[in-house]
Amino acid sequence: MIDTREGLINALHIASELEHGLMLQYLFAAFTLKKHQAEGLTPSQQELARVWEGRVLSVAREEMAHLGTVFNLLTAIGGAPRLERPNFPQPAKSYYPFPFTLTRYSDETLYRFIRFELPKGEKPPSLPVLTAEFVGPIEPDPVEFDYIGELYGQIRAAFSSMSEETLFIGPKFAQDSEEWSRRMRILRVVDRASANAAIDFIVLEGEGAPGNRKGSHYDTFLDLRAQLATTNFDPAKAVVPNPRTRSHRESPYPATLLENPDAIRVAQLFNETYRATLLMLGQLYGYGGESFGERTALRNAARQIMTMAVRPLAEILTGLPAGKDHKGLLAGPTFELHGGLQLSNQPEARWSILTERLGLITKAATDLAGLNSRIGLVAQNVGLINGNLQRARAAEERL
Amino acid sequence: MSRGPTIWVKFSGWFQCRLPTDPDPSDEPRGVSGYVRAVAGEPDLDRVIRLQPVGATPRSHCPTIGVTVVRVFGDPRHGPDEHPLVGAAVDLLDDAKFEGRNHILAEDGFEAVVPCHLRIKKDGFVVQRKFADAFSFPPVTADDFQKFAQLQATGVNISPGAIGEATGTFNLAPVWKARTAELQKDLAVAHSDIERAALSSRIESMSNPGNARFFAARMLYSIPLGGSASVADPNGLLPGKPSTAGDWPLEFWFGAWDADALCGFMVGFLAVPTEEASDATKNIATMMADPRLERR
Repeated sequence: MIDTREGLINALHIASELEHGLMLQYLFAAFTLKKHQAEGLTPSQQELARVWEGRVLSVAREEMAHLGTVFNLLTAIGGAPRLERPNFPQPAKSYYPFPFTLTRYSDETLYRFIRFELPKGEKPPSLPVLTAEFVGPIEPDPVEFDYIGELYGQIRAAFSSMSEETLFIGPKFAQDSEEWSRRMRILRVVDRASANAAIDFIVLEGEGAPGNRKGSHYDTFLDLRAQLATTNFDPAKAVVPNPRTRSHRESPYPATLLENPDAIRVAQLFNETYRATLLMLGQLYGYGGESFGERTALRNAARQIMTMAVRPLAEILTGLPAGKDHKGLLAGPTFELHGGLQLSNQPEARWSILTERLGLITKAATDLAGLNSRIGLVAQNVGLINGNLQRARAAEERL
Repeated sequence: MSRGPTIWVKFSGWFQCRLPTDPDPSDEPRGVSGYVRAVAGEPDLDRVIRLQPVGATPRSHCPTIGVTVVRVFGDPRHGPDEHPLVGAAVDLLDDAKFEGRNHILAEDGFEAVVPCHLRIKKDGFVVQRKFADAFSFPPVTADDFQKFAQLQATGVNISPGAIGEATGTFNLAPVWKARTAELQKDLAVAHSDIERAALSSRIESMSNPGNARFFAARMLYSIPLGGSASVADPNGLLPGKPSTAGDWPLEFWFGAWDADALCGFMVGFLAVPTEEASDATKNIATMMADPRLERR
């Protein structure tokens, strides 16, 4: 039972890690889907793969909205956003009740996604045919929760039982707005009613309602798995599971160490771009005195770098060879975090660090532009985003 | 230099632009998350604004691509509808694209046309001019940003009346309904997997009324063309030699976006001063060249 502020913050930190981790696993699978007939697709298979990628990306986008809403819940009760998470892979029982692993789009992967979103009481999906890519059995962790909805149930119970007057100590103006985009809604949390509405929103999008699961993530993955079962082609590129550029002591589990020098360099660029995105989100949600204009600029920059840098780099990686010991296999987005993601408590330092990092990414991408013209475009885009942030900052300073 | 008349060339017609839309990255090849997609058998999306059929990927039962001169004003020798330039092909050269980069450079509807190099061509007649010779893209310096702003749309108008008058279509819904019926007939007799996949995808896309929502919108542009020009007028279609001493005012709108055809309608005017430009023409060009960074 959660009945203290600290316990609630801890539970919301777990929820943050879960939403973050789910989003990355969905993105990874989506980015492994083939796009072109040259990859062995017939025209109708190409169309199917395009539609499937769009549906999984749409779910990933909603997970991003869930993550933002969890940050608003944290902010409302005096907590801070948590963007850290252990590197992939994490087998079941070691960290979460489910295995967290980056695998290409397949029946096994969709099975795991359905299991993530499975509402308590619903019949578990039929088991997939396991291959070497599968990491660990699906078994619930009895320690805290077996279903994501169960975790949110505990969080909701805590919001409902604890004193509203003493719980909501976070400044209302530090809440993130709902205006991310037409397709992405993040709920503000300022009191018990809005906290419960935010939790219900997350659970409803994930699980759907009892008796009506239509449109939920759970329903989407069930449908995608059923569609895949009726086809006889492999829609995903031969992307290795859990690609990484180095070992990670908090993830001493089987993973794929990239060996191709180009793939390693692009993966390093990808990791730093992903990390810069997290820094932007950390600064946006971890309010440190930033003005409305500065926060708007951070929100825009985070949204833009996701679509115009993180995604293209991820797609480029799925076209590069993984290395000589992985013959015929391809690299993929690594989503690695090296060290912590500490945000300075000095706003000036936050801006300097962010600007410096974006500048380094621009230079590194420029240096790699010869590998793939899309990397050149990434370099331009990150440079322009950095310029926009600096202009927004300068404009606020003039006010 | 003596002063001659300024010729106002009006042009209109359907253009095609196969561009991925937000939240797809602007270089997404097939269209995944946005509403624009390349269907089976089509080449990758490339964002090029094509005013003529060359290089376009026309889809069945869709408007015919081609922007042409429709009227010419200011030539004392001919009435607007009888001018020999009527029917000349209008084109944007050098693979012009809408540049907004998912809000990094411009908000939706305010994208810039980069590069802007307009050409009017008919038989041996050619008039073409660039926006500017010294313009670096993507913008880095303040001067680049100022020039980029001049290439951006000055606004977005919801103009079902103006679009209806120009295209003959005041409501896209019945057009899509009729087109869907035609595509379903084609689907019933389609022989190849590729054709079936493409037709099914288009039918599915048009079943979403939200995909038709931009038809009534117009993006408005006012761009001073001040770069290098090229003129060939062997038969004297213009009343005098075009003067490049000043900017040529170019105004146009893009609208009537048909998300199935990946086509829109364009209406525009180009002012071409002959001999030295009149003060009035100069004033218009000066207003167009005003720095408008606030457009972003």
